[in-house]
Amino acid sequence: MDGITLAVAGIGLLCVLLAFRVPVAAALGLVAIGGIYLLVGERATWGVLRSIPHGFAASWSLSAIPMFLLMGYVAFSAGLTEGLFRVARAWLSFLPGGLAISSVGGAALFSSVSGSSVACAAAMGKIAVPPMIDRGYDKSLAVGTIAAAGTMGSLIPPSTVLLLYAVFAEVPVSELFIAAVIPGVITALFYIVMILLRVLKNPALAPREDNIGWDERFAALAEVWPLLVLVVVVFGGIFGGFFSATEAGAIGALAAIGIGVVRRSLSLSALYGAVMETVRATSSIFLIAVAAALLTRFFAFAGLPAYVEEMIGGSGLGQVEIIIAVALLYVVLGMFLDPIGVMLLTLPVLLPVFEISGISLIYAGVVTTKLLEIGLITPPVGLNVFVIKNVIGDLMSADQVFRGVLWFLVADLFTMIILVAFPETVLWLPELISGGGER
Amino acid sequence: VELTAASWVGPSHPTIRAGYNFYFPAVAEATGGAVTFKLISGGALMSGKETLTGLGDGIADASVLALTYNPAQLPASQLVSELAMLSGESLAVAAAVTEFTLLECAPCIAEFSEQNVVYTGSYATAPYALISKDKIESPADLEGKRVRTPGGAWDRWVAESGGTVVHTSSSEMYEAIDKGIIDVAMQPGAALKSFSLWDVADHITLADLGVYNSGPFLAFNKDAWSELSVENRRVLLDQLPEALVATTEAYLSMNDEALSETADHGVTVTEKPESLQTWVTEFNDQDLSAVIEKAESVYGIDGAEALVQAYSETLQKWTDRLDSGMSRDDLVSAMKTEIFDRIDAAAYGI
Amino acid sequence: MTTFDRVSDRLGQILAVLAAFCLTAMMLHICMDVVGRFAFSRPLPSTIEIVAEWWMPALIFLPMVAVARHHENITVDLFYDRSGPKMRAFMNLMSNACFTVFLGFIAWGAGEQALRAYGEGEYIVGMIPVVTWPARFFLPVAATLTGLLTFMRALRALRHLTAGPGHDAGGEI
Ligand code: NA
Ligand code: NA
Repeated sequence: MDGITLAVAGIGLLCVLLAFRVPVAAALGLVAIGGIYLLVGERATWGVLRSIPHGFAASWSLSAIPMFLLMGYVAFSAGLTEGLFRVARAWLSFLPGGLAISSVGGAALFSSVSGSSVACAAAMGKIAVPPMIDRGYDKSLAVGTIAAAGTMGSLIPPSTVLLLYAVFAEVPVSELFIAAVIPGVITALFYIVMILLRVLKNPALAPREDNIGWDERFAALAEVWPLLVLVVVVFGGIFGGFFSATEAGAIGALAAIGIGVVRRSLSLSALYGAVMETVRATSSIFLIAVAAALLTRFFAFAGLPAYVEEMIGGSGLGQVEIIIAVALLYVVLGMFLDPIGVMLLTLPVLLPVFEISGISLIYAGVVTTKLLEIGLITPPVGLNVFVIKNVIGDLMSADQVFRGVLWFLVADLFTMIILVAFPETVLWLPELISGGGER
Repeated sequence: VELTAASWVGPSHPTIRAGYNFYFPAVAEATGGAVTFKLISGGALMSGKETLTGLGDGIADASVLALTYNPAQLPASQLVSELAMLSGESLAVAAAVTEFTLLECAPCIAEFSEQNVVYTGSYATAPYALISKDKIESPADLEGKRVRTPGGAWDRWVAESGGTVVHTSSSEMYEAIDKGIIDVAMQPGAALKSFSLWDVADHITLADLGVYNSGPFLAFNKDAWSELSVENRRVLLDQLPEALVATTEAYLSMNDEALSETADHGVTVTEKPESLQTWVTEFNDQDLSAVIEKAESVYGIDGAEALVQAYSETLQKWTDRLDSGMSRDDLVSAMKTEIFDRIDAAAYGI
Repeated sequence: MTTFDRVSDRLGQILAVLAAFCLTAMMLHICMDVVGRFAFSRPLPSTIEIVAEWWMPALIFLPMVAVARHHENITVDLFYDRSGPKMRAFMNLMSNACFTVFLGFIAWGAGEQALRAYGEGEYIVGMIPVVTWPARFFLPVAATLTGLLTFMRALRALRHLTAGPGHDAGGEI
């Protein structure tokens, strides 16, 4: 069998294994092992198994992932998240649908501390859903807001997804991080506009809040300013070239612990819990990444990247068409798989496509991540939706939550149109930072 | 047979552009299509760090190597990287490292064999230079400066000069100079162009700072090597001198090209300032004993002194011949008759 | 709870705590390196190498048993959630058997490499030499223990599957 046929057969087998609930890591790994064995033989198979798994994990550039995960879990355990929501609420709740808009603002702030969308959705779900329900907000609006707002966690830096992309695509993390800032803000703005429009049209969805006085607004700010300063320092450090991403994550995590201790909101057992959750989350992400690294070797042996390059080169597709094709692919895959799985699965094939069609890898990374985030809230498998569902219990069925999310998918569609029509929204900031030079 | 060759660098790198793109077709033609290569580049199979063990395990049949990644596995072979500052004559270094490793360093060949790998020759890069925002023309100008080095001998030289050693990846150099994280990058002049350093640096100082000499051009997996016929192995060896010289020349011509465009990019070239040259010579004299001591204490090599001696003499021999006007073609044929013809294709690497 | 469950629970917990210690140590190590660099222009020697070669493999691989114990390995649950008890038991068998085989391959390959590195006394040289071979053992040890766990689960799933009608086989194994 030639390499391409074998690779396609491998992708088919992969789908079958996944459908039978074989863990993503095992499915990727077994297909890779079998494929390399059939294609190259026993020697290369054992060679790959000996060198790649440990070699992939023993990496300085990937060490930013556990650090940012730790920072997020600690910030949550220390109750810093609640403070962020309170600030957003104090400053934004005068608007129609104020609590929902505050939730988006709070999620955006929490996203700048946490590297994970699911963690962001879980944290905001616990904090922001109960007050909305208590005030008589429409349930599907309340829950949909949180599920969607959580997706900013992977777009607004720091972000585990962006970090993994940077390593696989060999682009500077700092440029990728800063490139995702404007798309993250646009996402938040469209969510807010969408909430405003819906509530203006149907005020029954969200009863008005009492006005909050200025003293209370500044009191809320006083509570979280150390965290906000920390975020500015950490990212200023990365973008200014003073720290690497790993260093920024380590400093951020230690500082989050420090703030929690000073505020007396982080007990030793809460810290222990946060650290344990971090290592388990890191381990499960990396096992998949290791298996994806094995699959990449199989595809390389099979000549798949070169084949796809040829196909794209011969098809005469332009950049916009390719982005749209990728978007469709991700919408489909995102229906069944989690974002990190989708990304690690597709990058080995897509990276050469981006390169040959002249799409900037930074731009491709941000758009890819935005698409993956949309996948978190599309049925039938939307990780964020299930997370929120766990948090709120029997309040609504998953189908009802998905219905609440639909409006936010419309907002995301507008965000995607902006990102595709105006690539500068992604590329302007990194070019500004790197001195504007064409490199 | 089709051999899978792996490399972690991209297709525009001199080892591929000038090296493999000559060598692979040449071998295919000379063997009448009996031996062909499939190249998987850009690190799709193995990163630089993984390559030695991966090659030994047969992930690929052949690959470029960088000795500096694997000092524990190749202590004697990487000794030449500790001696990198001895000479800035790229072609002489390529010939000398190849001859030394193949013919004069029995422990080197044994090390490679222990890793299930067959060594077949090394290329060398263009001479290293100091690329900086401030002008560097004397050892005093290096004092207190943060210098990005490729490791090995250069680390000791920078430290002895009163500078601080910084290790960053080459892709980070541009930003590091721009943001003042490093003051000086030690790189061949070609980096001005290939990494666009001329946008952020104003000076380049050329001196006898040595070349990177620790890159076996195409090492083979031992099983794959021994499964080839003796005649085919002979062909693989015969085509190597030309490939090694072509790769090294590609480095040099990239370097010349970049240096010829410095004026257009506002970069001032300082050529071989005397006090710096004197300091390099002084350093080399005193450094030999440090190299030998490190070889014995850190790397545990017996007879390091004799090996250092042998390499120095071989290097001197090739330097003298090239200085006295040996042509490129004479160099290729001398490497063939004096090095590769003395290898027994029936026995070597088996 | 069987003895096997108790032992694997305890073992998974111990390894995860070790990983948690390494995570904390890594954070402090990196912060000290940054402080050293900015305050004294003197970074800690070989920080990058130690983080990559020691802390990372430890904190990634040691929690594997605990992750499997907590059912935190990411799966696609779409079809499982919509299947009947018999099908679920079959899927449990299938997924645990596949996971066991995968972990077996990983453990064997990584184990061979670890023994080889031990034999060579593997180390790397940055600013200072760093011994690296012991960290090679994290993966084979963790993968073997996790593989034992998934193997037991596969056996259980097989028993449920063959136990005949009326037997409750719908739950997580
Ligand atoms: Na984030
Ligand atoms: Na989805």
